[in-house]
Amino acid sequence: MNSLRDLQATCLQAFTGDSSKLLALVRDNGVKPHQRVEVYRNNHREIFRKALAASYPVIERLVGDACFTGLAREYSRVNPSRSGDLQRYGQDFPAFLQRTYGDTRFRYLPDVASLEWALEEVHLDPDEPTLSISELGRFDENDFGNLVFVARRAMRLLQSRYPVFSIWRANQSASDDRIDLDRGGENIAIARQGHDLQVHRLDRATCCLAAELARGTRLEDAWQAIDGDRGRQDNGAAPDLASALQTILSLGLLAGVSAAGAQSANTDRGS
Amino acid sequence: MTSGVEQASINAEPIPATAGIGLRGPYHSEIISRRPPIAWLEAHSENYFAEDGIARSALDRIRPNYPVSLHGVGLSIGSADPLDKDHLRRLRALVDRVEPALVSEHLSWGAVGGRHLNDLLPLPYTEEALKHMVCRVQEVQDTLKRPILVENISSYLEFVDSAMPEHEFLVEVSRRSGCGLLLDINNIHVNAVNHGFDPLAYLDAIPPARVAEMHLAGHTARRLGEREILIDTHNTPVSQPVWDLFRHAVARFGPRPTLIEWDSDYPPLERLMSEADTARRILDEASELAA
Repeated sequence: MNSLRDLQATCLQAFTGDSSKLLALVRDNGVKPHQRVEVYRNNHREIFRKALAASYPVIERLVGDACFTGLAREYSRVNPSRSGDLQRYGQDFPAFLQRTYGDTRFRYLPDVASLEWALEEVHLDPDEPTLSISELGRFDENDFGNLVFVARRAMRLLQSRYPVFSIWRANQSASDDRIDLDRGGENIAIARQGHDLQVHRLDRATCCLAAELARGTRLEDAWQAIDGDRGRQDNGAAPDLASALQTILSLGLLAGVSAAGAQSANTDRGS
Repeated sequence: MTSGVEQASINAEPIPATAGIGLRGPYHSEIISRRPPIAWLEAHSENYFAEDGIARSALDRIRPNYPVSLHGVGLSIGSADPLDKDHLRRLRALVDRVEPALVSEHLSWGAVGGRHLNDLLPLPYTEEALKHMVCRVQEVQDTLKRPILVENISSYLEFVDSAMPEHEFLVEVSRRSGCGLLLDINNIHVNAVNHGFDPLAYLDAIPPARVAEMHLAGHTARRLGEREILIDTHNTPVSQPVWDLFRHAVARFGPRPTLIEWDSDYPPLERLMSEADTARRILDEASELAA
């Protein structure tokens, strides 16, 4: 008789690879052991394919059913599940796609996957009140340069060399819109408030500023960091601080603010 | 009092001995906004592990209005691997917050050597596996500080090493560990077809006092050569043979909390409520006969 551990290890081998050793340990009862084992092998493939497809519906649509099935099978081989909870199973898929497609004409796929995984993550992040623009009114205008912000946790910023926002949006419906990959990169903000999940395309300056503020950089330092080529818009225009900050606040990307040097207890969080 | 949820906001009623439905993501909004007349709800524990995520937030809003049961699918109690302490910690945190009337898991394994198959896999029905399962159920109950229910699974193979029938193994797990039983009537039917046993004899071997809950779901037939095998797909209506078996179960065990499960190809909520109504009528008939 096999020990429980040996039997389970034999099952693992059979469901994911060579099933020959298990066949002798399975009763016939009118259905051949290899047919019985094949049910579990199919289930195994389908469980992980479904888990990945639930997180990456746009990637599935872009590459097609057969290709996605192959990707899912390879992904489960190199990234086997390490948890009884499948909610984070797909977290390494963008890196997997980078290794698979990074040097091909499909090299935009990893960034599309990063967008989709960011959407998954904000579903799992805590919801927080957002900081409104009116809450800046309690600070003296001369102190604005010292303001330090706290980013909302249910928020993500992405910068891509490819038009991934346009690709993602075009694939939210049955549209067959064609996206020109040479049209340039896009910057994206994802924010969740309650059950409302919003995906926005940002201009370069606003995205760079939001990223600096999310890192806890003083407003003045954040602005100086992007007030050059880094923040220059695609049309060559210089960035506008007031406009960028207003956009960041109106999209609900920030949760709190304080003046640098003030006690952390004085941090004003949105209400 | 537990973190995040005021004690007064918990619906403290036990799960009633009538029909409820599985709480799944596609139904959250409708249940929150319309508050439909459903006797009770059962949630898959792992879907609500993220402490402040969107799903937990939905459950927090639903919980005050319905009796709730938590049903785990990922603890892998029967694995030879040690129990995943982090998974168990998260389950306990969820149980503390939700204060469910019932907590259940499966008579199955799903991981070996740290690799998870995320499936409900059958055990060999041996004395070694029995002792192991009893020990693990006790460990879970000690951690959660409450008894749990253990559910029979659907299976597509049996091991030559098995020394006792599934129902005997199941009852012994319950008797030795003190856990209750969640009898999945569809799974009994599926296994009876797949392995060639009498499902009525299975039910008749279960002591009624051990049964705390029942499940009903749909399955799909798949042809394998000359034979047909049933797959537990949870994406079709409850079949007539399962309704018939359910009537036998209710006659034997009396009314018990009974869940309509649907886990993919989700139909409108009304469809689930309609199936729950069918189950409720069968349960009510048994109540009237007993009165």
